Amino acid sequence: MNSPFFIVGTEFSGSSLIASILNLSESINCHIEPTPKLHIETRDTMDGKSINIKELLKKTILERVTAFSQIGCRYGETQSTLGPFLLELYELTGCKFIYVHRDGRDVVKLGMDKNNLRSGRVYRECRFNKLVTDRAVLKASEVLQGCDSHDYSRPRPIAGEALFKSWRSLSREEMLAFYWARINQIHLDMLAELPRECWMSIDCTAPSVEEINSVFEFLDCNAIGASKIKSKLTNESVALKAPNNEAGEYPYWVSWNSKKRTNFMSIAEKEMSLLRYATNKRTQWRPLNFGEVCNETKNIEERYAWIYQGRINAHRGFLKWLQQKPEIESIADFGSGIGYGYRDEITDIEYTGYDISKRVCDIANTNRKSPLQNFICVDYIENELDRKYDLVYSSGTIDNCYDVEAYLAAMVNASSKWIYLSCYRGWFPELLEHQYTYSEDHGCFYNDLSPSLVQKSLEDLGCTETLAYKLKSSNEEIDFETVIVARVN
Amino acid sequence: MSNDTVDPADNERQILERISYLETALENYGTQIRALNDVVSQIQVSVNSFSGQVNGASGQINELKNSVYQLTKNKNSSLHKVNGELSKFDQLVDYASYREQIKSNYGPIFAPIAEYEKLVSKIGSLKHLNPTPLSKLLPVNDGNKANISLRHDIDADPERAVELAGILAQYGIPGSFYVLHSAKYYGVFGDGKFHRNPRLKTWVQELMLSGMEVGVHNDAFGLNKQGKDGVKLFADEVEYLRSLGANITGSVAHNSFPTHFAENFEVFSEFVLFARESELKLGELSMKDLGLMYEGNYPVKRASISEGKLDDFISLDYAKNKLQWLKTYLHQNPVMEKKYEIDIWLYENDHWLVSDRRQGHNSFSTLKETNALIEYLSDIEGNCSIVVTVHPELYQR
Repeated sequence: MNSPFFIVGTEFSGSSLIASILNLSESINCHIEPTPKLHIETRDTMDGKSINIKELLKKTILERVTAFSQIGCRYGETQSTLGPFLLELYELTGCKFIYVHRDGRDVVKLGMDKNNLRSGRVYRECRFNKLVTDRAVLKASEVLQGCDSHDYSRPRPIAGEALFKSWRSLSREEMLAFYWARINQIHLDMLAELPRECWMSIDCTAPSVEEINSVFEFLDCNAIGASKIKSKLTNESVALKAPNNEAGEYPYWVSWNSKKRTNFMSIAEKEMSLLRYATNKRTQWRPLNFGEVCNETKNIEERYAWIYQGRINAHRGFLKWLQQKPEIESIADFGSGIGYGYRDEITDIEYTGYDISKRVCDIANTNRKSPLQNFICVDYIENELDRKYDLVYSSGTIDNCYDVEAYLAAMVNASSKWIYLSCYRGWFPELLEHQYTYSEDHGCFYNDLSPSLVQKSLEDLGCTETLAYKLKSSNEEIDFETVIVARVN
Repeated sequence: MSNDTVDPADNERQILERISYLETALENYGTQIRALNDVVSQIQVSVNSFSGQVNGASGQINELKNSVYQLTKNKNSSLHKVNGELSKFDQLVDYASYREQIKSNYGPIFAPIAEYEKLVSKIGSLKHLNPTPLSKLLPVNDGNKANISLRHDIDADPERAVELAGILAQYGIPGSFYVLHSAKYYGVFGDGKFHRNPRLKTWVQELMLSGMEVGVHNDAFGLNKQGKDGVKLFADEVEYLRSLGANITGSVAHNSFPTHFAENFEVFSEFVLFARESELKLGELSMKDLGLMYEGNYPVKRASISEGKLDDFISLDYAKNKLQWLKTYLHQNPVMEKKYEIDIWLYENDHWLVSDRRQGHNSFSTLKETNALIEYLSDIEGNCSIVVTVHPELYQR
């Protein structure tokens, strides 16, 4: 008899998708969350309550494994509550585990949608219910506490843990971040104790046909055709990028504001790194296709001339400011493009333009007007520069970046005296958080920055004399731009 | 040489002198220009510095603007508007002052909310206790377990009630919450109409989302005493709460015997305790007709009523002798018995009154803190029914 297998991981990770694909094979019989689901026992175990786990498993899971083993197929099941029981389950059955995981930000989004649009029963102690639809409220009222073992099964911090005292004041997003981090941590800890050959992991954030086929190989089953897998992946898409436009839908993480980003990472950063969804703090908010548009730009000279003229007030303001700073002998321009305008205006001091588009940098280097000018292609947020400049300047680029905080940090890191940046999208003194909007088509963000938050961030980075002020825009559609200046110590 | 004749040498000297003069003047002008340039430069520095200060001030103004924005936002969120107009309720009630008043009234007798959490977490871990909504208290089906219901009479503080519901939800413990339809927080009368607090919907829905049972804290007779049609108003509110999606299957009576000579549940024909002359509309409603399945006091008529004991009860002044009154009400009630066996009542300052009417017990005791109550609950054997009654306003931070 083949040993059984269990598809384990957090809710909303894609385990049902894997199960449905495996079930396309005639030799596999994979059940999706059969009962009993051990909801209460998993929470009690996580809370440190004493439970005879082996007896529990014998009376529940082993009974159904035995019953189905008569059929001849390989038995499998998905279950999101097995994390604390993996060692005992392996000892009792010699089973295999398929550990399914997914970017925690996706799991938070799906959990929020489930709560707000459908069930109203995800972390029911949460007080942040403004986004919950009436439909979800009604659904929630159908299940009283005492009967709601599903929500009970989700972990909560226990006394003595950092989040214990503040738990009920957290937003539901934060609670879900805790859920994702804690359940994955338990799985990673348990799997580390097991022989390597008894488990595999699969990232279901955007799984490929090859990755799915590796699950069949792991189970020693014949793979099914690639077309069948492709079809399943398409029909039961796990991708979140195409919103289904349901009213009240929680935003995909690329559109989270700065507070949501900070809150999430403050709870889930360690596990995001362990699972390789955020290995680099500088780029953890960079979408996969970010910047692709920069490589596709046509008529570059013309386009940059138009951009420059459209913001002439901002450029004049900066050049005037620069004239009053004779101590500045070297400038790094982040997001320089082809250096349009500046290649003519700044010829007597060192001027280095940085841009993420190689094509743009190549054109810029061809057209430079002074030997003191240079253009370098690099993602200056991701890569720390190997030298410092008297001034790090950036004109209307932070508005399109993937992480304002990381951008500011990169500017400060590369500067020895000053930073100066302008934001073309406007002046938003009412904002307490940066608002991010990502355009898949353009491959870039459109950010509205909170001036007060920028100032705070710069001060946290050690800057002094930080100024954030509005500047009359040359664009008729925008009244004012934002200018930020700070001294770097 | 005539006088008119100009000596070329003189002419040249004069020219040279003139040039020299002009050179000196130029030098002086140059010096002045340089000085002026310095002044201009200094002015420019000052202007820049001033500009910096202006910008700095602009930053501070932004911060102030943000603060004002937040304050305005907070203030606005504390007021409820309908189509841009302040709700009628908010025109009639200063809700912020009401909140302050509640805090002040209960301040001297509150228990820390952490004690409630301690109690809830313990109830969740005691295996011989079976926490259940009040509607499901009876019968006790598992002989090894005691059914225990946490009843919350929301006399004054619905926001605290929602907070307590959150604690219950965190530990997966059911609770039953009863909104008092005659309370100021619920609604007020004005221009001959009843104006509900627009916040009510949010509170009720939050209780529902927490997984709590919601019911009405019945004060029909209290409203009658105010000259309103309390019976109709009670029935109206059952329907209103249902319109919010709440599954209202029961009510619990707001204590009224000492003031009305009738319990509020006697508005139901099923629960008139004894026949008497009354201005109140005793037995006017039918629970069945209203679709109600339970009355949370689970009252049982006494077979006979001792007039002496009844007179004693009525003569007790609740305000002057609260403890004695509660003892009589809970444990020696001359007009009714209860189907369940143990009443546990949060009194004041984390003191608990326990009326244990189990066979062979029949005791009334005061437990002086939550730990003592936990000890009491830990020692209870199974196969009995317990109601813990809490007024949320008695818990504060």
